[in-house]
Amino acid sequence: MGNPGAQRDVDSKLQVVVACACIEALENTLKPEQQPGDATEVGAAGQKTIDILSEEFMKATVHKHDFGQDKNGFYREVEGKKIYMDAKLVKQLKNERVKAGKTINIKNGAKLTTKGQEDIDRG
Amino acid sequence: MEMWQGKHFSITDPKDVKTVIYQVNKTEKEFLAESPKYTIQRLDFTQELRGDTTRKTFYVDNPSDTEDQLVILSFGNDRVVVNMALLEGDKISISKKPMPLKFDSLYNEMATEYKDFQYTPNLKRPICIIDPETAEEVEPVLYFDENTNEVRGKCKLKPYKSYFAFEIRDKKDF
Repeated sequence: MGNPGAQRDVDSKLQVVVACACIEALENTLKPEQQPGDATEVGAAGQKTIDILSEEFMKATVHKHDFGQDKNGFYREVEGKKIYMDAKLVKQLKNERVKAGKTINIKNGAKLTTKGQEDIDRG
Repeated sequence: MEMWQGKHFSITDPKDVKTVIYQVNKTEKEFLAESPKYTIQRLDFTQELRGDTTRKTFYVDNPSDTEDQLVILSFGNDRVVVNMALLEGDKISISKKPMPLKFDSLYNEMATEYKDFQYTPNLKRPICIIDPETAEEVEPVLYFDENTNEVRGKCKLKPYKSYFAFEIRDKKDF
């Protein structure tokens, strides 16, 4: 199943840009005519990767998943499988959601609790 | 009762390419005084090897109610492709302006030790540094320098090796 919206122009909707650079050799010194950032070379070097990944994202379909919790920790439920999560990540996500006033209700009407889960690291 | 739900999607990385994705979060107005305007959260993923390629499923565990902006970094042998995407409902749309960057000195033969690179961080403008060989973040350590009376940062970098660094900026400020 494809994703017909994948290649439409999203650039006008994006609010942010990625400002990036390659940090080259630490002990390198810029030549007199160079400016910081000149060490990067923008070109067609990655065109093949771009083409393949563009196609991948066009084909990608987004699905929703639920969360659950058992004695082994917190997990995502994806296609009937339990995918356990890193306890630190769960705690961070929980804090962000509480701060934003979002629900932390998970499956079966339970509320996520991170108490006692910090030592379980599924990373 | 409203329930916490996440979103996930899968892509296949081409041979010798490692893709990592970040979710961009806009800071709420009331926290702007002490926080950067945008923060990033690296998406957790699971992967499955399929011959030469890797099938990756990325998890957006804390999606917003409307849309989420994503930064896609695909690291190859000597290059990275930077792209952006928008996750709206059950659709993911990618930018038509991907940016390939080539590293000049990724595979330097010179054997060198890691060195501490010290800097004064701007906490309002966090910068993420990634080792392109592993696609892992280089975690800085923040400490209080009593001599200069300021918060300083240090991270371990290898001389003569390339790293990728990025920050998120407002489009209108760019």
